[in-house]
Parts: sequence; structure tokens; C-alpha cells
Amino acid sequence: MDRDLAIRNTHPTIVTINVSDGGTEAWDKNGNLVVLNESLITEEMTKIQSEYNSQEYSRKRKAEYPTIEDCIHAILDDDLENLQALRQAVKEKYPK
Amino acid sequence: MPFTLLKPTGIDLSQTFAFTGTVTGASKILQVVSTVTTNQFSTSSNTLTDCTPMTVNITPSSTSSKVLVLVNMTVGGSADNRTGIALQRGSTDIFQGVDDSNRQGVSSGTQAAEDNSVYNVAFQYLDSPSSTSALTYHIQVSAQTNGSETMYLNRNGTNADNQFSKNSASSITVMEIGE
Repeated sequence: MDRDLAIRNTHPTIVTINVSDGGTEAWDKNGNLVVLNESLITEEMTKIQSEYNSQEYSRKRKAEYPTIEDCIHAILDDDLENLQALRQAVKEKYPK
Repeated sequence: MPFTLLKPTGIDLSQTFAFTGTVTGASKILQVVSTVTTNQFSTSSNTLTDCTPMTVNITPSSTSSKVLVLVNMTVGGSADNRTGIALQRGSTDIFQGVDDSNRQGVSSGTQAAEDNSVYNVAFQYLDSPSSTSALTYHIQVSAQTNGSETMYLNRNGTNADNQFSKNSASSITVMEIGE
């Protein structure tokens, strides 16, 4: 979960952030400390996580699709039908 | 009685020696101060900005002392960001290239970031501050494009919850070298 991104998305004036054991401090472009709205940040983190989770099928497909090298070989060997079958099998394994 | 040893082949450590004189002709480390941080600092500013966790203080005992600064940082970035890293003593730039048009003078920097990766930056500088006042050595950092790219200390750009994400540590160490 990227709290840094959530802070930046919800507090657009923030330029610099320091996260330590003591907590989080953030500053604008003039070096002024910015007060963080934790409820906004929490809401944004939930949204970011939800978006990330919704793309799980895509990440799994990407990991198992034929490689670019496989695709080039399929083109050169006139074997596109087999390539498409491999891709389709991955899609069916990880549906949207 | 003066003790002179020429071309020694060894020292008999079964005896006890007490050094009461002054050693000359050889530098020695007089003090060492180090800051180690796991803070996750970030900035999207493309002008050099104080990286507050990378700060260390030292007070030299003599104006003739030198200060050896050792910097070791782990840096990540949003995709394609190139981080600039600059060393300062107080507000004085030290060990930095020269600003030239849009080119930014820094001590070091990173390659274009792959945002799931972290990059190590390490450099050393032997400073001659000629001071016995308290000195602050610290690091400034910059992102590449103001507002649209971000540099991160001690983490990668995505911070994805995956084994490839590395939460790391950085340090800045100063040694007073005297004679």
C-alpha cells in the first residue's frame, strides 16, 4: 500500500515527505509544513488498493503470456494460430 | 629515554608500553560520527531539497583537521526519474559540479529509474573546513521533472507489496582526521 502516493493524491501542494518511526511530516514547495488529513489519506489508500486488486488478472496474464521472442518466432514460422491459442488459454485461466 | 625503532621485524607484546609523548608525522582518526536512517523520504521537487534524514553533525577539535565524509544512499524513483544528490556543509555546496544552463550541479545521481528497483549511490569527500565550530553535513536531493516525478529514499517507486520491493537503509558518516 503506497501511503506516499495517497498523501500526494489528496494533498496536491505537498512536494516533500519524510516518513520516520515518529510519524509522517510533509512540506509544500516553500518548505511550509502541511497538516495531513488522515481520513482523506485512508480513503485514498483504500481506493488505490482496490484499483491494484482489480488488475490482478492482468498481472497474472502478463506473467504467463508468450514472450516477445515467442511472438517473433510465431510470426516468422507462420504459427500465429498456435500463438493465439496459447494466449487464449492464459486469458481463460485468469478471467477479468 | 627516546625510543627509536628502525626496520622493526616485530614488537614484543609481552611487555607493556605507555605512550606519553606525541605521535607526529602520521594522520589519525580523532572522532567518528554517523547517521543511519531507514526513513522513507520523498520529494517531487526538481530543485535541490534538504533530505532531512541524511544529516550528521561534527565539531572538529582543530582548524587543521580534515573531515572525511562517507555517503551511502539507496534511492528509488517513479518511472524514468533521475535523482540528483548533492552534499552540503551547512548551506555551502561542497563536492558538487557546476550548474550550467539547465544542467544541474550535483555530487552524484542515479540512472533513469525502473520503478520497482532501488539504486545505490555512494561517494566520499575529504573536506578541509578550517573550523572548530559545530558543522552540519547533509544531503540535498532532487527529482527530475518538477511535480510529475518523484525520488524516494530507502524504497522503490511503486512500493508494491511484493518481494521485489526493498525497504533499505542509508547512512552519512564523518571522520575527523587530525595530525
